[in-house]
Order: sequence, then structure tokens, then C-alpha cells
Amino acid sequence: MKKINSTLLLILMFLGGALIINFVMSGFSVSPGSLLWMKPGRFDGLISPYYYSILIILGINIILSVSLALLNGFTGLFTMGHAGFMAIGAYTSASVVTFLLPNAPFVIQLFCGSLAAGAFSALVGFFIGTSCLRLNGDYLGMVTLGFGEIIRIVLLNIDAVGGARGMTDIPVYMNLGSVFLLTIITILVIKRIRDGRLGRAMLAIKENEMAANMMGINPLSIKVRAFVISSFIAGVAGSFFAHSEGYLSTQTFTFTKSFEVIAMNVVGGLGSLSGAIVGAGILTVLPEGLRKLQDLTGIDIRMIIYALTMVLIMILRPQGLMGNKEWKWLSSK
Amino acid sequence: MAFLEVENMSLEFGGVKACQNVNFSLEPGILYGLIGPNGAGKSTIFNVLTGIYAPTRGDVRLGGESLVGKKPFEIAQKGIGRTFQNIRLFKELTVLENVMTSFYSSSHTTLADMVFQTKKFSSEEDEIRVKSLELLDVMGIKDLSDVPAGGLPYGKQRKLEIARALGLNPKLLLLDEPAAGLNPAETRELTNLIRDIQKARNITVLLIEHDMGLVMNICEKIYVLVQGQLVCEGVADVIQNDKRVIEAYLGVD
Amino acid sequence: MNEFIQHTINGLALGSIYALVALGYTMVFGVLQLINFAHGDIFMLGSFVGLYFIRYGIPNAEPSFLTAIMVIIVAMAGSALIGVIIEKFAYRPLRKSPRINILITAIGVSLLLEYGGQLVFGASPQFFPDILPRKNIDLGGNIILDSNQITIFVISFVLMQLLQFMVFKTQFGRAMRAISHSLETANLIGINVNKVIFITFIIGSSLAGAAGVLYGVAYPKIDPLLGVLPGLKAFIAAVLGGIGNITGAVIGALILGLSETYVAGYISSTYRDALAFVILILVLLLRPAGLLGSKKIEKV
Repeated sequence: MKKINSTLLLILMFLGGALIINFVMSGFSVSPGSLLWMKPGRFDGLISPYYYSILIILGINIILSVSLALLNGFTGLFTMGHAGFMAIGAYTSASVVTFLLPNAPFVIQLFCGSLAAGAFSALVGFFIGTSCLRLNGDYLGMVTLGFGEIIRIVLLNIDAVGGARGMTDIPVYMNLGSVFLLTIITILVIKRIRDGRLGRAMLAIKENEMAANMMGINPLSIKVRAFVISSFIAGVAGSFFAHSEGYLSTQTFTFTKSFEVIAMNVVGGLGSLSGAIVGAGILTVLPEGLRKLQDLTGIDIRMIIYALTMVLIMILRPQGLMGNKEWKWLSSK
Repeated sequence: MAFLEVENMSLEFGGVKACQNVNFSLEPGILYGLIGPNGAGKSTIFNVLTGIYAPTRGDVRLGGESLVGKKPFEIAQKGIGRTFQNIRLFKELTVLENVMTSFYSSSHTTLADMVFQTKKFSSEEDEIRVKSLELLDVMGIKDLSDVPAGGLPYGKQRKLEIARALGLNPKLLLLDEPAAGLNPAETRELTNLIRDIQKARNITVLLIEHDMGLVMNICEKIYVLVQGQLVCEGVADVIQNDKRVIEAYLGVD
Repeated sequence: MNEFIQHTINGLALGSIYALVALGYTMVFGVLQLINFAHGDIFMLGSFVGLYFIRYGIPNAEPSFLTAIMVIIVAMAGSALIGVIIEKFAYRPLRKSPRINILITAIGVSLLLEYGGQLVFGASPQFFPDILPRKNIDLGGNIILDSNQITIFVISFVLMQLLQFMVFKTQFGRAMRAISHSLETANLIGINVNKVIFITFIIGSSLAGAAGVLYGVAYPKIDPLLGVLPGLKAFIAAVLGGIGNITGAVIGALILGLSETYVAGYISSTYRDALAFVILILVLLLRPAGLLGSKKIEKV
């Protein structure tokens, strides 16, 4: 079969899916407004705005989680600064849209903002990747933690993006359809990278760097590429986040956020793409699902159960929920 | 004409002399053996040839070009493939994927090709898959291609490592104790396999081995390394009767 | 110049508190190769145990030296108890698991303590009462030495001397140092590894508990999230000194405390937090073994 066409077909399918989602969510409206740039809260309620926003966050978290899986799960680079890349993306896109293209049509805003977000984040990822390539294991984790926090503190000190007050009035145009579209595309892109020669080289480096060297693979260049791709995607996820919330605070991007993304990977199963998705799903939905419990008991024990779940999964199922298995549509065969 | 030359090569770690003034050269299309007592520095020579260690003094040249200072992956790309004494497979990858990794530097698909799964991508992947399966077939483990490499029995892991090294299409193949841990029947089979592959592909093989039967049987020329120094070289008969070799192995009375 | 001396005094006080926390990080890393992210929260719990003891245990006690000692001992005991519970139920079952699993567990435990703390103590800051008669000593030229700072110096110094003695002069210390070289070998030569790790957690956690009380004395508003940033900074101090190295942790902590205070005093307090991370990155990129660490860094 002609591969290009099948890829095109897939994208058209997903686009169709996205339109259908928006059509349904907007209460079966066919106006282009509701299909394309419907804002949360403007639809008349197939599901409540609250659940709607959870689904959007779920999509963004899946994107973050699979982008980290590329670094952490496939290439074996343990990093603890993913929130930093997300922050760069969020603030870059918000700034581009607010300061450079305030009057452009939303498609242009979204495209340019997200592209700039990914590109700038990838640039920083390239810089961080090249500067700490000599490090491995925990030490790489610590350095990236440091970089992530520095990114946050620098953003906190830039007055133009609101500083400690946070950045407000960011145009909101993320809808469930577009988040769905971009999530599925991200997953497929990462799956395809994994299944190509680049992905094989990444896995080889994770398994045995010395042997990978003997196969003519340059580990440093592959690692930098993993950093760049992963930070690009995390930056784009940040951009989506900015345009779904409409408000940014540096408090969102502390190292706790980075840990959360790592936890998604590990809970789902490190090294498994399906696991990264499952982990993101559980750790996003669990705290929200537990809200009901809070209503019943009257005390806020959601986050305690959330933390406890994390610990219990690590103790009872250390390989993560999916282990190294993949769902059929994500397996390499 | 020699295509690999090692000239006055010495390697020291701190004050420890791992190799001293090693000189040898390899001709194309010949199967060499490198023997010597434990700790003589045989694997160290492999590590110098593949760029893991840089020699303290001296030179290593492949086709006239010095390899000193080159990175291990660059040397691999120039056509030196190797196996390891303690097997280093990509254990979580399948047998087939292990071999496919060795085509990394000879393939050309870009990131965009991978993401859009272009024609170039699929034809190159198919080609790599076919070539890898051929190599597995040669080594007799084709039927195990979908098994994770870590799950293979020991002897088959050794074979897989050779198949993987062959994927590089090397001019020089370095085998570090390929028969270690194999039973006599497996050793015999592997011995024949190594010789067949070497002849069929007309490549140079340098192998380290403690199994003297294997070495004497297939190696056309043998180097003997004792305490970091080459003490003797020649065909099997010469080596077996050399006084220094006997001393090194059996000790002096 | 006077301003500089004042900053130095303040910096050393802050550094002493970091040092007590950093010691726990470095000791646990030494024996388990684990960055115990929950350690900062044990420090926080020490603060709260102290507070609740003052409030309910000795409600009528006057600030005095004896009160202070009592509060610190109770906080140390409370923190030690929490530390060993965590070790036994969260870390021990994972002793043979990949390190990233233990790290995630540590993060999970840390979140558990933070949110659990918010549930039990409430999320809003609480006032930590004086446990010592407070007196400012004017050293002349506007340099003021707070009596609380003296307390911090004295108590930190005594505890560190005690630790130094335990690690370098006792059987336990020898066993602990053996384990930090190689857990397997230590096991083989008959060292009771579980017991040593247990004691390591007791010591590390109780030092953090003491630090928690001293922190409450120095910055008398405490809340369940207070351990996050100081915990991270203490960890950075441990890395700066050479993680796994006890003297290094103290030196790293004093350097960090001083430089933070100087940056806050002379440049801008908003960049104070960034400084710690800049130090972390520079150390790891230029000298990953830290100031006093040995060359051996990691087992790939």
C-alpha cells in the first residue's frame, strides 16, 4: 500500500473524529464556531464544564507522559525536569499569541504559538541535553531537576509574563476535539519513532551503551536527539495547557509536576508506550474521581489516596501496570 | 598487503602496563587466532582496536588511516565488528531487533521518513529485516527471531552476537572467546560456522580463544600474547612447539 | 563590613539547619543509593511534633533551656519513629527493585506526608512559640546576634559531634561505612544490613526532627509544605559536599546557607532559590563527586 496515503488517511480519520467529538460535545451544533474553536463553557452541556476540562487535562497529560517515555523509557535517560519544558512551551506560546499575534485568526495563533513553543523548548532541550550528556542515572536526574527549577524561577522573575502574579488573559481555544487530535498524533509519532532505526538505536543505548557503540551508533547524538524531540513535544503540550486554562502561574511547573509525569511513566510501566498512557490516565482521573469520596466523607483525602496508590503500585507491581507489554495498536509487530 | 597494522602499541593504566610494544598486522581474508594465558591482555587489545581505550603510545591503522583518537562508533562504522567475552546483547529487544540495530549507520531514513512512514522508510526497513533474517539463518537461529534476546540459551546468545556483528558488514571481525561456555558439540558446530562465514564473506577474523582445539583447527595464523607482549606468531605447528609458549602456559621447571 | 558580618551570622544559622537535614540525605544515600525525597517532609513533621508537644504536652512550660531540650528530644523521637516506619513499609519491600521504583516510592511517601500533614494539621500556617527566652545580643555596629541563633549553633554543633562519633568510632559506624561501599559485600561478611539501614534512618530522621524544631525557632510560622524547599536545598547541599560524605554534607550546607543569605542580602531575594539550583548544576557538571567526594561516582 502507499504509505503516505495511509498516513494521510489516518490523519483525516482523526480529524473527522475530532469534529465529531466537538459536534457531540456542543450539543449537536453545526456552526463552525462550535466545531472548531468552541471554548469550554460555551457549549450547552452534554457533560459539565468540569468533566470537559478533566478530559482536556487528560489529553495534555498523555502527551507529556509519552514524550517523557521517549527519554526515560526508551533511551533510558532519567530526567526530572520535564515540567520545565512544559513551562517554556506554555509561556512561549502565550507570549507569542498575546504580544506578537494578538489579532491573528485563531488557527494562525494556535499554529504559530505551538510551533514557537515546541521550537524554543527543543532549543533549551538541546542545550540541556548537550551540556549534561556525560552524566548518567541519578546524576542526570538531579541536573535536569535543577534546570527545570531554574527555568521556573527565571520565568517567575520576568515581569512581562506576570511574574509572581501569573500570566492572565491568554486566549482560550483548546477544545476536546483538537486535544484529542493532537494527543493521538503525538502517540503515533512516538510509536513510529520507536519502531524506526532511531528508536532501535535509543533502545540499544538504554540496554547496553557499549554494545550500541560497537554497532556504529553514536550514543551522544542519539541522546541529544531524544532530548530535542521529547522537549519539543513537552513544549507543545505546554502550549495546549496555556490555551486551555487561559491563565499561567509558575506554581504549576514546580518539580512536583515533573515527578507527576515520571510517576505516570512508572505506574503504567516504564518502557511501554501503552503504559505511559495508562499511567497518565490513572494519575489524572484518580484524584478527580476521588472527589466524590470527599463529598461523602467531608474531608479531603483525595491526594492521600493518590499518593498511597503510587506507593502501593510500586510495591505490589514494580514493573508497572502494563509491564513492558503494549496494546496491539501500539506494538511494533 | 596488510590492512590493519598495530605499531609499537603500548597501553598503561597508571603504572600498570597492559600492553607493551605490541606489533602485528592482519592481511585481508585470513582467520587469525590470539591466544595467551589469563590476564595477558588479549581483550585489552580488542578494546584498543575498537577505540574503547586509546593507546598510551604507538599507532593502530586501518587501511593506512590511524584509528587513534577515533570514537568507538566511528571505528565500528569503518568496518570493525566485535563480540564480547561477557555477552552484551540488547536483552529486552528481540533477536531480530538486535541484528537490525547493526544496520543503523548504513541506513538513511530521516525522522520525517519515520513519522510519515514513507516509501523509503518501508523499503529500507524491509531490506534491513530481510538481511537480518538472512544473518540469523546463517547462524541457525532464524526460528527464534521474535524471542527477546535475553531469553535465549547461552550458546544461541553467542551466535546472535556474531550475527549482530556481521550486520555491520565488517572488514574485520573480532571474536572474544566465542566458544566460552559451550559444550564440545556446540563448539564444533560454532567452529565450522566461523570458518564458513569467514570464507564465504572473505573477511578477516581475529579470535581470542582458550579452546586450543578450536584455535589450532581453524586459525591460519596465531599470535601469542604473554603479559602484554607478543612473544610468538606463526602457524599452529610452530606455536605448539615454541619454547616460550610452552613456558608461558605450563611454567618453567 | 558590619552588614557582611550580620549576613554571615544569619547564613551560618541557616546553613546549620540545612546541615542537619543534609546529613540525613547523605547517610541514606550512602547506604541505599536512594535520594530520599520524603526526608524534607520528615523535617516538617519534626517541626509539628515539636509544636504539638509544646501545645498539649507541656502547655504551661515557660521558655527555658530545659523546655527547649525536651521539645527537641520529643521531636527527634517522633521523626525517628516516622522515618523507620517509612523505611520498613515503603522502602524495604523494594530493596531489590530498580532504583527508579524506589525513587517514585519516595516521591509518593513525600506527597503522602505533605497531604496527610494538611489533613491533620490544616493547611494554614501555625505559629511556633518561643521555647527559649529570647534576647538579642548587640555586638556593636548594628550587628545583632539573636539568642535563637546561638541555640541553633550550639545544638547543631553538639548533634554533629555526636554523629561524627557514631560514624567513625562505633561498630555501627563501621558497618554503615562498609555498606556504603558495597551492600552485597557487607551482607556477605555478616553485617546485619537491615539493622544498619534501620539505625541509619533513625539517626537521619531524628537529626531532621531536631532541624525541624530549630527551623520553627528561627522562622516561627510553620505549615505542612515547609519541608519541600529546605528539603531540596539540603539535598543540594549534600550533593555539593559530595553525596554520601558526612563532613561534605555539613560543609556543603554551610556554603549554601551563607551564599543564599549573601545573594538575598546583596542581589535580590527572588533569585535566592535559583542559586541553590545553579550550584547543583555547576557541581554536577564540573565535579559530580562534590567537594569532598571520592572519584567513584556511579555504577552504570
